[in-house]
Amino acid sequence: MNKLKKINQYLLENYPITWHSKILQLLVAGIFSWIVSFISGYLLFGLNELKYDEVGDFYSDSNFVSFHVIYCLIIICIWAIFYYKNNAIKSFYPLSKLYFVKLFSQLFIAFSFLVSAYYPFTYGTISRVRNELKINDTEAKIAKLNLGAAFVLNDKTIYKIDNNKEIVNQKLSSIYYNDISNVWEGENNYMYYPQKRKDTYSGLNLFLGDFGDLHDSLSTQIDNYKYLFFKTVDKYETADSCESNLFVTDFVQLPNSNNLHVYDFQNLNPWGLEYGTIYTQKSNNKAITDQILRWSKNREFDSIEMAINDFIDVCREYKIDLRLDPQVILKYLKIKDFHHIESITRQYENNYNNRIDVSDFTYPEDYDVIMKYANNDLAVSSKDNIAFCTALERQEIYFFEKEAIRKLLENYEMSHTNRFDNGFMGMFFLGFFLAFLFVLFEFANIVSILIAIPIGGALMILVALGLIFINLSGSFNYDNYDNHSREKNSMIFVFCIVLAIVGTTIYGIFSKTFNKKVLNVLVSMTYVISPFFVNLIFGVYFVLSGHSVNTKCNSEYVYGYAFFANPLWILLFSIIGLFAFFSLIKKYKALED
Amino acid sequence: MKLFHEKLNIVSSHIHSGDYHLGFRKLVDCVLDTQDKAFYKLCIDFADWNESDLRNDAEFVERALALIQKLEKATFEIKLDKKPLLVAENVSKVYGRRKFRLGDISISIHEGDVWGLVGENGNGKTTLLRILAKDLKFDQGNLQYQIDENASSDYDLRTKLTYIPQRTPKWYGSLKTNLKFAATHYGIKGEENELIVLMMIIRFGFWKYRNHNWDELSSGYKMRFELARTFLRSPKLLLLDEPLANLDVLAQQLILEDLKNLSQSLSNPLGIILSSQQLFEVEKISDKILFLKNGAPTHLSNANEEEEQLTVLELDILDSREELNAALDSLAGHEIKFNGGTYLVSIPVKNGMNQILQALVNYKIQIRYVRDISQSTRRLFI
Repeated sequence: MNKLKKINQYLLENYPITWHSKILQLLVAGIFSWIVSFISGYLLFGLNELKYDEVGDFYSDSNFVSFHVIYCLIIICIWAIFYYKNNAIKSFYPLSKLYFVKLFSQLFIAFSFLVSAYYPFTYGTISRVRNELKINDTEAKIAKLNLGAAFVLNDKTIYKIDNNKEIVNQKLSSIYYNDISNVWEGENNYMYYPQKRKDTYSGLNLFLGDFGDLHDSLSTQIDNYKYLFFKTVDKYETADSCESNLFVTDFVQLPNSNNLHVYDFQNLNPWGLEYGTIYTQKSNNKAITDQILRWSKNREFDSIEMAINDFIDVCREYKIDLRLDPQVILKYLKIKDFHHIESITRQYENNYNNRIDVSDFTYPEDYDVIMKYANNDLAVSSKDNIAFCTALERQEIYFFEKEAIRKLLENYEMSHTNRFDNGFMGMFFLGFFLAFLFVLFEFANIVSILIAIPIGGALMILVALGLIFINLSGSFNYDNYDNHSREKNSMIFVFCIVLAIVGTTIYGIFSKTFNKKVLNVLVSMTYVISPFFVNLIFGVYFVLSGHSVNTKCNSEYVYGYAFFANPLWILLFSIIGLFAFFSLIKKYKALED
Repeated sequence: MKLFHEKLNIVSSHIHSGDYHLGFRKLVDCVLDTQDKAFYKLCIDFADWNESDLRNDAEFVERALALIQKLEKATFEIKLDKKPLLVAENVSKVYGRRKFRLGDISISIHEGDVWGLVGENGNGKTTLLRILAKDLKFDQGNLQYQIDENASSDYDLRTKLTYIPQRTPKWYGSLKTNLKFAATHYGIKGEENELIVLMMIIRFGFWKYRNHNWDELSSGYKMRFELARTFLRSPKLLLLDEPLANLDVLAQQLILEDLKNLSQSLSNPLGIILSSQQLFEVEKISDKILFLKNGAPTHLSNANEEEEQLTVLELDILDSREELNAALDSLAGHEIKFNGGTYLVSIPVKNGMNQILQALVNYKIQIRYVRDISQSTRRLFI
């Protein structure tokens, strides 16, 4: 404490801005906050969190965020009391040219540090996960989960259709989608009505999950229980034509039988590996599927049972809730000769002697739904399929916590790859805002600020009305709309208003002709505007740079470089605008009443 | 250095006479004149001892004289040229609902000058001070500052142009911290910062209160703090609005005396303008008096030759006006005016106070109060 006092005295005697900003104290508070955050992140992220939360989001999901907000508020309030005890500019002490730049920079750094507990907290959680899930150990467990999972599936969402060896893409260049008549048309007998597409899309999502190559351009039709998937492309009717139609280039069809093909295992998408990371290597996947294939062909039920038992052991180690019986699974794999896993579930329910009583249903209303479809071979529509699968998944008939495994592995993956950056810029923007706010109170009169607020509000309403007028006035004019003139007019209008306020303020300061009270209000408003000013200049540049580029059949509207795509530019421009304003403060403060 | 040695002799004389407080204050002024850190340290040690329980008069004298002896060897640049600081020509301003007009004011202030600004309430004293402090715009006239050749902006000018309002703004934190903060901004850093701040604390007599805050100080000490802070800024021109208001008689005297002494610093002389209702006290230390009546300046020097020859006494007696009249009967051309509280007695003789008193004593008039206001602006008040 004495050391801290000595440093404080040294700063007071030698670096008045640093002493005044109390950056030292804020940094100490920030360091404390970081240490507490790291420890909290480590301690709070236990086994349960490992399964049900994500390392990247746990800061906001846990109550720690409330603690941190309260802590920051208390620190800032205490800091502000000391900060406002001394004010060089109001006492007309000599100030260096960069006084406000230095003051703002110090506050910006200190506040950014103080409010960024998210990082140490998350690193705390990551450290915990790394500690709990060590790389070599966990990879072996993932392999066990992947291997066992092939035999304990309870839905089809983990199948990938695009790699199925039995399914060969068939060229269908003659079928196309007619936008005018809203039907699929073609030379052969397939006619598909697109109004059903929405429903089938939902069904596909449920049944197939990731479509791979067929994603986004997929359409399907359930026709006599056949599942068809289309790959489409936009094509011009002729080389010179600008009229295009949506053509179906390929289609694929699922096997008709209900049997589970061993090849389907090969398309298995292992657990938690849908994020495109190091654990989703094809070779990794293939090693597992080859193993499954071999066991299936050779009917190596002992190995399968062992794989299922390993799967269950890993789940139990992490206290993942499950109700899986290896004997039951093996029995139905034998009976159905590796029938589709959906059938296994159904058969299990209908035929197994010890089947679970209806009263065990978590959601009793689902029972009828399940029973209805359990007695039919296939669902009649995708809507029914959804209802059926939803009901089935909600029950604990044949159950394990898939989501828990997914989260567990996701956390494992994120922790070892540091794949989180949430709030990185947000921290700086919050730091910027706080520093911006407290520098305002450093030089501005509080009464002027209070007067500036309603005036600024009224001005904003007028600007909004102006924007509405600009936009409405051109709304029925196709040309205006087409050349983005409303967009340009709106931006220029806002820029002109801002320029008028800033210009009037600068004129008032340099001409010394304005009433000081009016100028006080103008200065407060200009200060608030200043961070936006440079951004607005680039905004105007961006909008004005917009122009049409004509292609063969249509024109595309393109813009110049969009600085706003990167928040770092916005922050940088805000700082430049603010620093430009700082150069006016001494001149303004010296003005007579 | 002759002037400095004369100052030291005066200090020595005060100490030999037993005027320890006065002598000590003037000794501190001499130390401040040297602008030498070594002397500051000696003085601070002395002050620390002086404020301690160990203090005794004999040792005080011994230590003080020893310090004086060392000071006699000090060398520093003495500024005697009395540079002009501010020249105001026909400055005027019209303001308020009643379109009150202040002006035309023409004054010229030099280093070492003390100007007294007097006048009844509402006659524009504060307005004038604020105009001179560049805190308020004026309508007409011309104001020229020759304070800082390096000042590149109005803000820089105002850093050297210190104005202390009647109601000093509240400050926060300890007294010493505030002084250090001010000193650092004026480029006084490191060890020198600590020393000069302690010197100011000693000079303005709040050694024991140096770690107190605003709420713990009396009005007198608050004013002293403002003065200490101001002097840390090495001001060229100091403008004080009613610095004596709310101060007791002793504090008034101390502050006025300090102002006079500090204005005539050998190393950093400054110009002072102070407004006050305490006419006699202000007149005592002022080189010039500016009396404002209805916003217009009135100088005693404007009086005609006949008025210059008058002796005017302000008089309070227990006897009646008739007896007073009878007592002064022997003095040719005498005039008596009664304002309800005191009598104003005048005779057409320069320096005739003794004649009037002799006449009153002869007639056995019982005098309760008497003051010669022949050269005082009080004549303009009454």
